Amino acid sequence: MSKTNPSFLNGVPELLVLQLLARREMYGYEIVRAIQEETKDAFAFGEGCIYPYLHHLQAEGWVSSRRQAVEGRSRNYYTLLPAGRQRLEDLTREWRRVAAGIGLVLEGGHA
Amino acid sequence: MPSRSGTVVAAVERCLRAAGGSGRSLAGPLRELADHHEDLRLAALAQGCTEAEAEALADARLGEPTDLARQWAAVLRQASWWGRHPWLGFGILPPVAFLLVWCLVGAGVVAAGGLGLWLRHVGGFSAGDLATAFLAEPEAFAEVYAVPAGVNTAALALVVLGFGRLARRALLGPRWLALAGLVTAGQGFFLQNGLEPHRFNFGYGWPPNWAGAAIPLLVAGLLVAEWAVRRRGVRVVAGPLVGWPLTWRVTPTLVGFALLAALVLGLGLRLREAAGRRAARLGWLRREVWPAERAAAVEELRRGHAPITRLATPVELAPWVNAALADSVPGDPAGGNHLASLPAGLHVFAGVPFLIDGRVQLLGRDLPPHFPAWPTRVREIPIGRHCGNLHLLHGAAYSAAQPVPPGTVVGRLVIRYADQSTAELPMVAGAQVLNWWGPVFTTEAPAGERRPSAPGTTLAWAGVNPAIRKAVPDYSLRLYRTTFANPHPEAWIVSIDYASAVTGAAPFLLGLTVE
Repeated sequence: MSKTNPSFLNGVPELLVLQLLARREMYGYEIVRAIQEETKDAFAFGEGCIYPYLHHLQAEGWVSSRRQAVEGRSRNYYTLLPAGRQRLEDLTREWRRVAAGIGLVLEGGHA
Repeated sequence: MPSRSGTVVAAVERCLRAAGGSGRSLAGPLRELADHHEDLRLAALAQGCTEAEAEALADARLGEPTDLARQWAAVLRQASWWGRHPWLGFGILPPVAFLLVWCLVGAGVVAAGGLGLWLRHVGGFSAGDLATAFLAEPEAFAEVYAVPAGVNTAALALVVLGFGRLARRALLGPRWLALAGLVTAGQGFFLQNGLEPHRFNFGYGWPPNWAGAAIPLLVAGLLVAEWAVRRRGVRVVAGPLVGWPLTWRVTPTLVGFALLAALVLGLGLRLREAAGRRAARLGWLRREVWPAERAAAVEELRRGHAPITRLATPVELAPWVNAALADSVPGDPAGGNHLASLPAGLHVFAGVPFLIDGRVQLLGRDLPPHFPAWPTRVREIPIGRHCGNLHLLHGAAYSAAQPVPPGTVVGRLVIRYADQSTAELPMVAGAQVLNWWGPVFTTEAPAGERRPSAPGTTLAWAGVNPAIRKAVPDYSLRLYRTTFANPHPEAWIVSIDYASAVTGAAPFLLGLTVE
């Protein structure tokens, strides 16, 4: 596994994590697995960095957490809050706008 | 307690602890990392790895410990008010905290000291007895005078320790602690306080308090050294907030700090400018004006007033004299606060002849009662005649600790007539007497300090002594002649009492003349 990808914390993960939590309540390991599976390992990062990031989202009031025992293990489950849902909508809109712009440039380059 | 699974988790913990993270704040993050590590390890084992391979794989997938610790440190810092507002917290708040801590420590010391003194003198002592014992034997309570210095030391050290702990808990590193230490040292540098009988003062001033500056720096230095020892061998979690914030962002705190700094700077410059103007004017008054006015007043006194009576009879006060002219007033440990320059014998002051043998000194509230020779009243100074006027050459030593507002009756002359009746003639501060230390110049002399207001009272003598030369060279010693009209001139006066009202002024009589 490579070192933590510095760009991981520059906006994309916020969108990914919030999107994943919008589907259901998840714990850190689940979130990392989901990102790697759904992006087909497009991002390389130290998995431990998900936790500072989740705590940051929690401090911003976008997610909440609760401790729950599952199969003899105690895990921290994270849930999207209404403010987080609003943030997700804003980020999604912004991402689509940027992606559309980048797509136009790339298509122009191939033409 | 988080599990210690994995070398990465242990390394992250070491980094965060070296940065100052405490067990409680790190417990949650480390537990989550350990859980994640355990999930990774179990997944690797399920894929057929050996225990050692699974452990190594889990460590590798978890990430670089220093990067993880740095990210955690940034999050924990932002979760703390102190981490979000370090300039306000460690640059502005220490002086405020010092005042609060000083009050708390002072209250504790006073309570403990009072209890200790009480225990020392236990055996039926009341608070009043203790106060009396303190006044009668102040040297036995010498430790009391060391209290302010002890409270300063404790409060300065506690403030730096407290802010050091806050800086550590917020994972801010030693530089913010050093800032708090410097600010506290600056406060301690100007801190001035002291304890004397009947007086306690607290404030800021000059000359510098070197101990007050050294204590915070010493404590901060020890804390930084201890921090350096803790981080030895551990990679520092150096996020942008650990050191000085080189990448500035305009935040409300920064703007507030800048405005406050500008306000303080502007106020300081205005005060400095005003103080400079006042100092320049004071220098001019001292060089050009006051010496001339003082010389003119002394010359006027030397030329003498026109005699106001030809039938006056000086009264022999020698039997009641309790202090020689050269005896210093108590409370002046260096001595030299006396009237040695006043000529003894028969002399005319302000137009009235007085026979001067020494000082009939009465007690004021501030003179300790362990000077038994100094009474609150001298009785039955024989007169044995009729008279129309009584002339006094007198003064009063005002206490620095007990204010004597104008209008305060500081003493009385009690006339005893042959028919057993009496008449009281009050001596009022501002009317018949002023502090014997005061200005004889008039330009910008403090209000109420220039001359007594009673028509029968005038400045009779002005001089200096070593104490006033050293302490307030602009001032002079001042004695007044007061003429009281006898309220019953037809009655035969048997004797006169001279009594103190035991206020902040200790009155004294140098001459008594009747006519």
